[in-house]
Amino acid sequence: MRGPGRGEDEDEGERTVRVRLGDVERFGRAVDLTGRGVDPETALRAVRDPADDRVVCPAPGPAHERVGMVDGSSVPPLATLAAVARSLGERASVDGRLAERRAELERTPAPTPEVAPARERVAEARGRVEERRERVATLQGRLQAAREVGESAAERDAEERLADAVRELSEAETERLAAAEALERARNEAREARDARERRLELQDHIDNLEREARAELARRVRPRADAAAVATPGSRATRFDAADPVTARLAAARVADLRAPVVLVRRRFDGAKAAAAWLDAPVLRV
Amino acid sequence: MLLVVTYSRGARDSLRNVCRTHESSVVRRFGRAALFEPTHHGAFLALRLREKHPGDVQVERTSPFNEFADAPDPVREAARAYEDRDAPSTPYAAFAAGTDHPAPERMRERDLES
Repeated sequence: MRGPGRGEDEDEGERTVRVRLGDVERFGRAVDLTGRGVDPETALRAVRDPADDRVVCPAPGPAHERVGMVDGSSVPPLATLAAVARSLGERASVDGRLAERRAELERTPAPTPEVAPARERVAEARGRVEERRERVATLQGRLQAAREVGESAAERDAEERLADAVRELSEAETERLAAAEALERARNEAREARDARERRLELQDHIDNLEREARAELARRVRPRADAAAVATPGSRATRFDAADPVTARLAAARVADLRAPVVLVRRRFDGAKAAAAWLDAPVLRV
Repeated sequence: MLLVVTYSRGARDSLRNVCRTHESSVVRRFGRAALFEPTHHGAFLALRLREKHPGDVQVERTSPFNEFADAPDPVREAARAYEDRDAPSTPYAAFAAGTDHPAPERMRERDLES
C-alpha cells in the first residue's frame, strides 16, 4: 500500500527515515532524489538537525560528522578513523583523563583583567599635574612682575590667583597618587586573572595533546578494517585507506562505521541508492 | 621595548601571525610572548592584538637593565661571588650568612631605583 508521493525506492517496512525534500516525500533506508535539484548541503543540514523535519531520522552518531556526506572533498585520515572507531563504541585509554581535564577547564574561570581604566586615570592625572604646574609657574612670573611694578591691587590679585593655582596643583598631585595606587591594585588583580587564563591555556594545550593521542589510538584499532574497505570500494584503486581518493576514503570509512542517520551521496559509485545502502550498511540519501 | 604576552590560543595564533608578517617591528618572539620595537608601529601592533583578544593580551613596556646603574654594587658582587662559590650545593642564604653579602630577605624588600 503506497501513499501519495512515495517513490519507487521505498523500502517496505523500513520507516526509520522520512525525507521531504525536492517536493516529494519518501520513506526508507535508500532514498534517491537524483534530478530533483536538492542541494547536498541543505540535505546534510536537514539530516543532522533534529529540529529540521524535512529529514526525520535517528541522531547522527560520531562518524556522521566526518563521513555523513560522500563528495569529492578530502577527509583528515586520523580524525575520520577515530570517529569511525567511536561510532563502533571504541574508547581511548586517555578518555578518563580527557574528561577530567575538560571538566577542570569548564570549572576554571576566565576573569578579565580590567587595568585599562586605571591606566587611563593615571595618564589623565599626570597630564593635569603637568598643566597645573605650568599654571603655577606662569602666575609666579606675573606676581613677580606685579611686585616690580609695585601696584598693591594688582599684587594682591596676583597673590590670590597664585594661591588658588597652588591649591589646585596640590589637589591634582593628591589625585595622581590615588590614581597610581589604584593602578597598582588593578595590576595585582590582573595578575590573578592572568594566572587563571594561563591555567586555561595550559589545560587547553593538554586537552589537545590528549585528543591527538586518543585519535591515534582509536584510528589504529579500525585501520585494518578501513584498509580492507578501501580496497573493496567500487571504483577504487587504493591499496590502503590513507592513500585512497576522497570519495573512496569517505565510502570506506562509512562502511566500517556504524551510521544510523542517512549518508548523503553526491558522487556515484553504486548502481542506485539501494545498492549503496546495502554496501554501506547505512541509510543513504542520494541527491 | 614592548613586551606582549598572550593568554589564549586565539591570541597566541594572532601573535604568531603578527610576528611573521611584521618582522621589522618584532625584536624577538618567545612562544606565546614577544618583544616589539618601541615605535608607534610596535604600539599599533600590540594594541591591535589587545583589541582583537580582550583580556588575553598583556602589554608591558620594558627598559634596558644596566646592572652598573640599576643594581647596587653589593647585589652585583654577591651574584658574582655566589656563582664562583666552592661548594655548589650551598644555598645562597647560607653562603651570605656571616659575610657582607646581602641576605635574600633584605634584597626582596628593596626595590630597584627606577
